[in-house]
Amino acid sequence: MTVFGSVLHGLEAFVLVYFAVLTLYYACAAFLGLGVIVASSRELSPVALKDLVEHRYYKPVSVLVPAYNEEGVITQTVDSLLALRFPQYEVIVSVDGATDRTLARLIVAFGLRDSPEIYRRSVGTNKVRRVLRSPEHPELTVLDKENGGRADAVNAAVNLARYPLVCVMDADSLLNPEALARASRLFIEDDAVVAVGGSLRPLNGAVVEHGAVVDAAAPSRWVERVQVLEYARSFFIARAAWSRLGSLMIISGAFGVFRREAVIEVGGWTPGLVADDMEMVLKLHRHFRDRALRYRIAFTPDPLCWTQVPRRVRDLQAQRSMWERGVLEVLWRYRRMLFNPRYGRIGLVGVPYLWLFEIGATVVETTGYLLVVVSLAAGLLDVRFLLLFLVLAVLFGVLFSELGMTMQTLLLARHRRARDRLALFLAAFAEYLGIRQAVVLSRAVALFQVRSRRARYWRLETTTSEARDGAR
Amino acid sequence: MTCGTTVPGVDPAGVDPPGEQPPGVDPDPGRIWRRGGEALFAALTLAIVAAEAGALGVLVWVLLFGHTTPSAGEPLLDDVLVAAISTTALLVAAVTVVMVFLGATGARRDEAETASKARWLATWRAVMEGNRPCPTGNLGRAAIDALLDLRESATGPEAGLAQAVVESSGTDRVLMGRLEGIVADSRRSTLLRALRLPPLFRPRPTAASALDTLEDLARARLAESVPLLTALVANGTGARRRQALRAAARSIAVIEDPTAQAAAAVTLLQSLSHRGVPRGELDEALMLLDQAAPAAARAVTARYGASPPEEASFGATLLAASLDAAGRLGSTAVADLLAPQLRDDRPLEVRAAALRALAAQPSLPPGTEQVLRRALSDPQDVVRTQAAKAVRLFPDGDAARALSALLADPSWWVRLAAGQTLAILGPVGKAALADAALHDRDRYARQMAAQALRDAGLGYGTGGRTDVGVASRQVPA
Repeated sequence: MTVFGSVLHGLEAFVLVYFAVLTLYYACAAFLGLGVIVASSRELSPVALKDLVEHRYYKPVSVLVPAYNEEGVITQTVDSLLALRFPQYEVIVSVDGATDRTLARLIVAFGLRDSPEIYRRSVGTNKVRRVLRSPEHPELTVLDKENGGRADAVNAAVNLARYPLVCVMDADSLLNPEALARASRLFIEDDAVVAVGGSLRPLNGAVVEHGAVVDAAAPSRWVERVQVLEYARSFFIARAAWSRLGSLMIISGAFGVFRREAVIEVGGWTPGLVADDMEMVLKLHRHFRDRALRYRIAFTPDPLCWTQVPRRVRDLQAQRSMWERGVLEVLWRYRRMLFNPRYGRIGLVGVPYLWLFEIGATVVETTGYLLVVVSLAAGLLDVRFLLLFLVLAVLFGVLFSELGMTMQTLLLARHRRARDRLALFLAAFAEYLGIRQAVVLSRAVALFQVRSRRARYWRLETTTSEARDGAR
Repeated sequence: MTCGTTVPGVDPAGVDPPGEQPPGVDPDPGRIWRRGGEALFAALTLAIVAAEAGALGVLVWVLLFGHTTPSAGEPLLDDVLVAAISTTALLVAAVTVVMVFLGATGARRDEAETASKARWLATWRAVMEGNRPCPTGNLGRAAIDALLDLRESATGPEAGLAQAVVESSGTDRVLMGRLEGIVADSRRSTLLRALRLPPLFRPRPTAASALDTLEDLARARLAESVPLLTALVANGTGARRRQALRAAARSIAVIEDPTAQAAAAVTLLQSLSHRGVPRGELDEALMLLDQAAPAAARAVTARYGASPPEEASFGATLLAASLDAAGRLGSTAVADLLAPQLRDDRPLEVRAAALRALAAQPSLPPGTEQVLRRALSDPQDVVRTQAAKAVRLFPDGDAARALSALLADPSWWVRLAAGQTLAILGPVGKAALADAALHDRDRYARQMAAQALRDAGLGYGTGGRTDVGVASRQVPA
């Protein structure tokens, strides 16, 4: 066998072994994730939440909403936030130099007025031009600030936040009415908790009435359905398992609750990064482990937030390309944590996992596709073997999508109609008919663009009120 | 009400009694996850782990050590791949069957459970009203759930009636039996637990069933469950300990004899002493103790309040939590305990908690005035902040003078507390704020006074400055 052939076979064997390890990881993660769901569903019982509120040992929350050009959804989002079921919270919308009518719509809808405010500027931000308040809704504050990006907008809102917990969310997301009670309860259970993440579910297809999801119907497009499965796998299986292992590395920017003092201690969110949400979590890990302080980053599998996902493959590609760049950028920034025993299981397990199976998966999968082409061209690949391997790969993917879906059947707010469940079942196969390959390709290309593209707001073309209420 | 008999027409296995679903009943408000289906799912995932580990292990073994290559068209490799595919396909089929089964039956089962629970609610209401005999025997999940929901929502005399039904229906005995199983399980050696071997003659409770039972006990509030729950708090870990703590605190809150109630509360709190219990859990337990909390605070003060506990020790944390709870409950029963805890030599968290409890009193307890005055100039800003809130107990003029001075405090939090307290003092406070907003020599005092007036709805000025970055000044050493 030639050297080329040997290298090729070595790579092929590596891809197969890698694949085997990843598959086993998912299987174990499903079991661990189920344990988290069992415990969480009992601990966050209706009686526990009732006690929290009635006996007044909750921690008040400031909900921070960075908004760039969100004129289509912002008033509905604020309306839904003002209807949350929690006794003490405030909503701070940070309008980050919007060039559309985001601010104007807020002013009109909520009768906002200038309200000079004295506040402690704990984190440096771009200039806040004015602070507006609503006489009708004293719990609503709107900041009009110079554009500085999502992280800067959140930091400006952190400065104004009055309460010990801050909940950061996207302007185009919807919160479960009990989201704050459920997330804030985890801070009561353990003083060491500095951040809590919750599960997200795609809003596409869901029926929304009065700012709340009343029916979780499956979306109409395959690319959206594939993302429903992907979110189920990611949140109900992977993140739940990582939280069980005490190594949660990501809290989605669409919903996360943080101890305000901890955020300030680490200097707030870092402006200019694509994955500032992930960076905040790693920053918290590093900060507390450097100082040998007890801390915990918790996760509740309860789906507390509904978020819009791309409706077209090219939007999905753009989003995933941005995420990939963001993850790589952050991992590179925190490369000293990799295999560093000083950071415990984060340095020895969590960060290596991200390198190996987040960034690595893109590289290995792309390499796999390239190997197929090269091996075939060189006459070194048996077509029968290739087909068998592809079938196995697809079956693995389908298996874990199905596991994610089965987890969802444990939810009360699940896909109730048989045709929805069938559509999602078929989507598990459809994912491999081009969508997955297109996304992997974009992610692979993104690995070479980390330095050439700057952070920006991720916006979907569907973030309009019509899309939110109409995407059913 | 004639309890203790099996009602004709009610299946002992838990089949629903006849009856209409009362309108407006939401049997499971606030629940996100369904009960049931978890065991099936757990078995499925374990089967997947085992099967995939086997199939993939063989595949990897063949690739690494089988002297074969992926491209050689080796029959052995093909056979292994086919076996892996077959195994995975079978698992996909199994998961699909489970998913279809849960999906197809789930909605119907949810509806049936909802209807069953609603009928049971109606039944239990009828029992409480004396319109029908009390069902007993194996009541089933829906019946117990409905009864405990009723117990949870009932207040006043109705709560007593509901409690009587809990006892006469045998629900208390069912729950106590389950609790004994959980406690026995928690006492087993680590080795036995690791091996998951059940103790003889007693089924081992699963994680889900144990947590469900503890939740049921929290709703049932059985005084007799307190010793076992306290033992579980002492021996349990994680979710079980937290659930047991909640259930115990809620049950102690309904003990009628004050002496027994206080003793149970103190025993519960002391059972936590050897564990690193988070402050939040202590707060929760104390607030759930409700009327027992002040008595517990007295006992805790007697235990830890005489000799100064060390900073951040369990004693200091428990003492601070107890005083805080008494303050939040607006209890005047701890007023006489506060003065000694305000002294400079007490741990910071205890002093802060004592000041918060003091601020909740209707008037200044004897012996606290001088300590409070000293606290206003304490080097720790957390103490000054809490003192600023408690100063409202001074006579108005006196309070206004002290608070006006604090408006120029180096700490933003102290200035904020001073401004907010002045705003609630009445005309004297508002006049002091208006004066400070216009004439105070300190710029920060003027701004804080103006903001306090605006926050109080007095619309004072609109020309203040925003984004002032006031964190630059530090507390002098």
